[in-house]
Amino acid sequence: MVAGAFENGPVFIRNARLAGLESPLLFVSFVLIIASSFFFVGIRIFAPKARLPISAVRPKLEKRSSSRAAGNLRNLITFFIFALFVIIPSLFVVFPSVGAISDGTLQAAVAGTGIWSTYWQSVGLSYSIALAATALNIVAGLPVSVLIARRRGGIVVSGVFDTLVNIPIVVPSIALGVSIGMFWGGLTQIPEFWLLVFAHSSITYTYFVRSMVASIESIPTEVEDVARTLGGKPLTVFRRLTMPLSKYALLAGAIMAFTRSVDETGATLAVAKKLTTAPVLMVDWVRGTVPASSSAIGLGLGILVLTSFVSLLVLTVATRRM
Amino acid sequence: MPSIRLIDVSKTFGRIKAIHNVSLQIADGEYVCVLGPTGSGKTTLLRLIAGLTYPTSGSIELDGKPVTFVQPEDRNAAYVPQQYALFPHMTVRENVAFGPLARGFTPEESLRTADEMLKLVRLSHRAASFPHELSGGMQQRIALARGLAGRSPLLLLDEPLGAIDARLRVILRYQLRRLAKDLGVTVVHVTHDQQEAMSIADRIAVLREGAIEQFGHPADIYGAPTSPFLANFVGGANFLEGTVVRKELDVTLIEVAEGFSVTSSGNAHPLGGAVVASFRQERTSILTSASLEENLVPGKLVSTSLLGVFLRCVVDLGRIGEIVAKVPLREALQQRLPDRVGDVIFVRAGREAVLVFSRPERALAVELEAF
Repeated sequence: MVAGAFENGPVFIRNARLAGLESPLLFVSFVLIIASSFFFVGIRIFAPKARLPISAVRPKLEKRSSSRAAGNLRNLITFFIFALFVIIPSLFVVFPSVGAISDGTLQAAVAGTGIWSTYWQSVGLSYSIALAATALNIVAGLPVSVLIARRRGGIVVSGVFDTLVNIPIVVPSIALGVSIGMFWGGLTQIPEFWLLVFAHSSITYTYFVRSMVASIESIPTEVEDVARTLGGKPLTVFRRLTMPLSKYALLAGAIMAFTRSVDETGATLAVAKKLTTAPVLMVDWVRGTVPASSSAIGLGLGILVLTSFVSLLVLTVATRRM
Repeated sequence: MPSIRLIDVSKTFGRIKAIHNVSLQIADGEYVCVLGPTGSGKTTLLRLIAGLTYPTSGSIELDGKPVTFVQPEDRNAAYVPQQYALFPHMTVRENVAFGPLARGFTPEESLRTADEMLKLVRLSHRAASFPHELSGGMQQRIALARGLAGRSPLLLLDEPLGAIDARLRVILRYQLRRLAKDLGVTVVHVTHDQQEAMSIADRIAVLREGAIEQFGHPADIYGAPTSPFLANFVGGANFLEGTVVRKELDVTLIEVAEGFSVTSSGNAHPLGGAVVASFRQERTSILTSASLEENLVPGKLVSTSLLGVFLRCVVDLGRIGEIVAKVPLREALQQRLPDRVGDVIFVRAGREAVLVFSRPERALAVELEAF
């Protein structure tokens, strides 16, 4: 939405789709997928071999830059950059939504009249999709996490899996969306809701699996070994040791997958034909495809930001309790 | 009966031979220590018996039944790893009850067994604690209780006392043996501490570079080691390289330096053979005046240090090199040895104390290395 004159790959795909240019669209998606996968695999293979100049020690310089004043200055700059580039712009949308309280937009939103009836439908749809996609990821992601973390099936197979699992976040999401839409839409006649669920699971899969792999890898294999010699079947060991010991990672992974799914726009644009999720609706509002006042846009986005924050907060607190 | 039999077992990891043609038979109820330097394959041997890794060749029998590729949970051999690997999210009681529960006991039975085991290791009062709240010694006892709770007749201990401070280690090792004997379990106890092995094992298997160097009663390994490595690794000794220069009915004379010979009993080595003469430091005595006994060499006392009931004396024997004598403290004080550093004294080792080995293929210093 920030982009104007400069069109990157995903924006081009979106515009191409709106203009009805299906074949160039497929071609660009194809190029994007191949190129990003190629770069990623290349980095995976060659990055560990690259020698970064971090082994050199410069005692004088490092002593000076470790002084208290230098440290404070560094912290200040870090905080300033964080505030200016991350937090303030992210929450800036709150300001127009403050205006929405006085000009009647809030009342319209609560009553669900006019454009707001579609808005609430979209929000409900987004959360339903996110919930289904996260559930699907937990069921499908757990075995793969164990496979990767414990090198089941040998170093080669696990290594290949380890790399392939990253593809969904490496590839631009709209290109992935085009690909997923072609696969599920072209091969089967499943309802669009499930089409979106599948697309979102593909995209959020990596977040869940990565989180689980890191956690399972941190459990000493000795713990599982001992349990086996004490008579524990592999499933018993998984249920009573591996799962409880990685429950935080499971929740963290689920939260990431969930929030990522709620704000997923690119792939949804490429897959959806009739259904409109909340972020896609916001694109329409901002672009003016659907006429909406600036305070309505502010409030709509504000609610999305707020609900995301609240769900994140609730899950974080719930995790602490466990 | 929970006996263990390894038949020609080998295990390779890539190009590394961790275990090399090991054959071993351990009887029911026996307490066996596997002794070896770091990297000798001790843990791999234990994991092979536990079923946590499978041999590249050879076979394993437990209780007279072949189990070479049987899953660990179907072997009834409880493994207690070096760092204990207690389950951090479970209380001590839940940790100990894991085995019985996994083996299909009811929760009540399992907890009752857990409580019995905790009583046995005298930690009933910590049943509700979490492992990280306990000291290293307590954690070790919990790991032991957990291993015993499933009623496995076979206990596989990997350096069970390795992480415990020296004093407690000595106390705990006797308790460990007593507990095992009381419960009648067969134990394979891996350690790199030769004193620990000597003091509690029924038999010791000395492992070196993945192969069994000697398997026997502690007294045999100490008294009749089969290689210079064993003599050095178990008990420690002085070593002198030499050549057999004379053989009589029951005596062999070995020249260890120009003009110096050592007399040993026995005559197993051929005339002119390259050998290593070895004698225990604690069977090397120091005399303050010359006498006409055999194997008596003058030397200069270089240093002394106190080792409990012994005084450790380093003596420079000139062309022969330096040797170490551990002299009983009372005797050493009567001889006023600490005051005689720098003086000329006489060193003696009786012929019956001298063990003779064929010269190893590699250099003696390399042969004696034990990392």
